[in-house]
Amino acid sequence: MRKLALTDEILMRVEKPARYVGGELNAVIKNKDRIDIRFAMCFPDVYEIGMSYLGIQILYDLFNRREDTWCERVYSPWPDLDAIMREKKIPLFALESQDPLKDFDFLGFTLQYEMGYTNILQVLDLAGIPLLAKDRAENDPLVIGGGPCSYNPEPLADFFDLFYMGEGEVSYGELLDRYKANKAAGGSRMDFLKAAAGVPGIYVPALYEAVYNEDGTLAATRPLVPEAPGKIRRVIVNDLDDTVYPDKLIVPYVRSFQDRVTLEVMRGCIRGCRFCQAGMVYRPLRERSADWLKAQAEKMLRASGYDEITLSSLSTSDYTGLPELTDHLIEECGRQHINISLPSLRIDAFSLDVMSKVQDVRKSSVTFAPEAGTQRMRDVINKGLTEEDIFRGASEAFHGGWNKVKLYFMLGLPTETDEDAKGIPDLCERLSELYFAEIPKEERNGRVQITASSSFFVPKPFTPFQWASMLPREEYLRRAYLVKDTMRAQKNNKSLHYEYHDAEVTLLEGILARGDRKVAKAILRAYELGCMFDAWSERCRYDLWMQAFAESGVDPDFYTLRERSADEVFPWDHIDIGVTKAFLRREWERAMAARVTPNCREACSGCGAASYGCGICRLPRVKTPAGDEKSPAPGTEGGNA
Amino acid sequence: MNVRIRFGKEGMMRFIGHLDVLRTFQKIFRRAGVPMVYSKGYSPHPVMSFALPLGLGLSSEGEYLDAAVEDGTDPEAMLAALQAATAKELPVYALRVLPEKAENAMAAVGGAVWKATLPANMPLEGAETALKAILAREAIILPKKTKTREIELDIRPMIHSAGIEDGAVVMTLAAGSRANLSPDMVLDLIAKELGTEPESLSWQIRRMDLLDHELRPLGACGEEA
Repeated sequence: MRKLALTDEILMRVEKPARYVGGELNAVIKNKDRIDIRFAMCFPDVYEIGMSYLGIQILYDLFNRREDTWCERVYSPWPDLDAIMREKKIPLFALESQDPLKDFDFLGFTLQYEMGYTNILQVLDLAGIPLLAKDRAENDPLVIGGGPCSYNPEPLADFFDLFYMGEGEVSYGELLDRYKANKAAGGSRMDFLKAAAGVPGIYVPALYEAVYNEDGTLAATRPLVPEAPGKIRRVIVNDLDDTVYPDKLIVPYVRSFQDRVTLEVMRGCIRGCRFCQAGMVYRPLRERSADWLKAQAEKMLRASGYDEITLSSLSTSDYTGLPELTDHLIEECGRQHINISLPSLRIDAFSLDVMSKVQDVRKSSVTFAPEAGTQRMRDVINKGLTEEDIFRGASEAFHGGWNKVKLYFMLGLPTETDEDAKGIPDLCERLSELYFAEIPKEERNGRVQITASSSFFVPKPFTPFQWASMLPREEYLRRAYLVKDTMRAQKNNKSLHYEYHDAEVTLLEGILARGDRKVAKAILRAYELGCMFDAWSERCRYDLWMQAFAESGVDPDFYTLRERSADEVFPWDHIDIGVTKAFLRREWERAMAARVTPNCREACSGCGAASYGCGICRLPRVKTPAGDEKSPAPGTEGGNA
Repeated sequence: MNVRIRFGKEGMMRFIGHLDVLRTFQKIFRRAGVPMVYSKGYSPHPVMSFALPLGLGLSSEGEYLDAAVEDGTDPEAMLAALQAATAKELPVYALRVLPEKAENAMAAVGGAVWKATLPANMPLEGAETALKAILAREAIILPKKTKTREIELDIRPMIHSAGIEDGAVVMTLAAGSRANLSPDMVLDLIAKELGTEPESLSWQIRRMDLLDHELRPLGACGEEA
């Protein structure tokens, strides 16, 4: 029988003890005496959230394919267990072996959202690992971060020994080999860190210093040793059909948020929405072949026993193999009583047909993400969805029997006016009118229900909006009320519903997203004051965060309420994601002129990702560039400006 | 055809709740490639029913579930496939094909056999004497809370047998929908008889088997694979 780190008495006291006992189907157990490298992979949030994330399953599988490595998992203990562990001084452990994290060689964190940062400190603290990298001893685990938030690693630089820039499949093999070689040669922690800095995609923050101007802006991030490269370039997989993918997903016993097989159909996105970080940092678009996906789906369903499968990517409607893949899945899954859960697709005749085959039209809804209420605003953000698209899609959906529509918007976008905000309720009203106009009374299946939700826009690094200012808290709320009040005054307001996100969390996210190394002090202080699980909005303590900023001498407004100048040096400028700063600046200027840029399939706009020489950058385009400035031919622009 | 499997819960599986075990068995049957029979309706689900949920934290070697599988499925191969597909701490012991008219597992449950290992601080003779004294009573009236009020209940008829074996209290108690007695109730009586606070004792409780209304093991019904 596997030993458990927690006693029966503790497990009986906490909510959902299954979060802490491991032992899931397909979890990997190895003999630790025959292992050279022990890697603990952490999603710094509660188990059910972390287990829903495919990325960890991919890395877990990748690491455990190595005979010399045992990769295990760890998640944030929920506050009930957190308190017991502190009181009884129980060190945090990995799920598989139930061994303390302190015994591991590596502790990896996936950085999916800024509001999870204090949970990183929680995990380190409970594990008994010094929070600051500089305080760690030779034998402490090496703390490594990866994932979207690591593209601006600076606010977390003090807490991490290493960051991994890019897709895990590429460089982890070499990193682990160098670790083993250093250990065998009797090298020190610093010897390893210097060796690691030479691995493509690896950033060792301790080997760099941040130099500031008098006004507090960054002057430069400079390498301190010859081993540290001036720029760290993101690494990516060129051919996705040539990657390992987990055949045997770990199947949690407690229901996770994504309780199904997830099939990643492609990486990257052609769209180029100017607010979207994922759309820039995962370029270029690389598709998997439908044949590869069909074979993988079968293997994963068989090995997991799941009765549901879903497709995943940034914009699944843009996957060229979608009709072939969905036809296949509908036929195969239907036979085996497996449900297909569709990601949100662009609403058109094709997607409505697929949706009607796999879900109950009466119960389901159609979803649009116009992101902004007026066409002018949508042009500013380069959201390719036009009003015509929305109305055509909605009309087809209404005729197909749907009467629930969900719409996603952002408020607080650059150049946004009150007219743009009021465009949201206006669009909703006109959609409800469309329903009444097109669907005769006798064919109506109850009242049309239109739900609009809005989040407040947060400028993210490596997007065309990285120069943008945010708004004061009161102004966010004023705009949300403007939408709400306008909607309430409309004729069809009983068919309309509006909800909006928290403004305080938005501001915190904004500080952390574009923060520099100075912000680390505030994160540490916030954690000391008791901030944890900030991503759970009911648990987020804005007051404590504000206290932490004040006590650590970090001015929130410096990070949020300031439009950056064209020549400002950003904390993430030494990271090279492929897309160039020059391209992003061009996009910022086009945004200010409300000019759209064609998507990657229509024309190459010379973003810089062609320097990877793979994916869509190697394919012929439909038409010539629509822009006025000359775009370079595919594959000619490289490096980072 | 309907089959009944007997399974256990060990180690970490003790902390997996009943509904999660149910969902896990649906996955195990799929992994094993057992052709299940599905319910009708818009979202068909496999037809499966459990005998009696087991409380969180308890281990067991006598759990049962009934499942409807396609006629003609080879029982022996099915058992082997289930054993290969399940988790170590959720062992599948046996599979039987049920007779056509058999009552389903949930309706069939009438009793349960429990084994509670004596806490380290309890002397064997003391426990034996206490148990004998309890069993000698003609009636054991305990207060019981129902949804609306508190009633008095005689639990003595619900204790079919109890004795000490290998340093553990082994007892057969009423279980199921008609009458159900939790082993804790008997163990608390032993503690009281010995003048000890029940909360100060930590018993390790294991369900050994589930019985029908005639107190025959649920696993005796039908033909063994």
